Amino acid sequence: MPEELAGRLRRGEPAAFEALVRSQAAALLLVARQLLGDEEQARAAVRSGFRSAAGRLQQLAEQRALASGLRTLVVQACLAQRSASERHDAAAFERLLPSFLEDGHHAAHPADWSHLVSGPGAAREQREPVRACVDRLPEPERAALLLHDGLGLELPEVARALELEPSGAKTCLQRARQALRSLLSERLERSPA
Amino acid sequence: MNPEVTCRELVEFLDDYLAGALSPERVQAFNLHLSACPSCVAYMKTYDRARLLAQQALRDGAPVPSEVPEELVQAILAARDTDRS
Repeated sequence: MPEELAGRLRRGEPAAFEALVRSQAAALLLVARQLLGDEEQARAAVRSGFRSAAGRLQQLAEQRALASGLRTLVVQACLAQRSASERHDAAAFERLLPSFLEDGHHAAHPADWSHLVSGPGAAREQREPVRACVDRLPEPERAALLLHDGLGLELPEVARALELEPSGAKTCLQRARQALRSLLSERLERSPA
Repeated sequence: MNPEVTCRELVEFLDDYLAGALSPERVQAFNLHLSACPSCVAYMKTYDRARLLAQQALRDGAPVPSEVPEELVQAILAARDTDRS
């Protein structure tokens, strides 16, 4: 975010809003596309994010939090769209997480399928199955994985976007990976070696 | 089995272990546990593989927008104007 633009927003210049939209909307659209996978829904989320931000741009500019603030608003708009259209079974998700005996040992021996997906073409072959498994994750775990592993945001940025504490974002990301591991296990253990 | 570290603890701190973010003493304790626990070895290998596959699947599919669609810009400006009036 150029400081010159932030200064114009802090001064309340009317034309600064359009400049902000033109400088930030492409990156925000990329985030929304990643989270929603649908162009129209993604554009609606970006519109919603700017609409929510319009009344507090000076405040965000003064806090030097314009880019991250806008991203948070767009991510929240994406999550609202997801939660309106999808319901996840919390108990089913818990079953995808690792379970342990009282003494802290694994409740069941995990199968090692890593050799089935470690060849040179594995990443390409597994791209769609992995994306399908990620789509089965609930929010905010799915969003944490997409923002961190998909868009390359650092954990503090993921936390801000999801309005979580940093430790909460870290736990969220870990639970997403644990569940993804289980979903891939189910799929690969059914496949011929 | 190393009594210092349980499977639950290893799984809980696996991201830190894989990222090299643990102290040398903790790494040594984890390595000792892994040397005696085939379940944790299998879990770690598949967790790490799932993590890498996710990064590859989610990153290479992301389109890079070259510019903002003009109709989106106009829709955002129109929504702002509607809210102000």
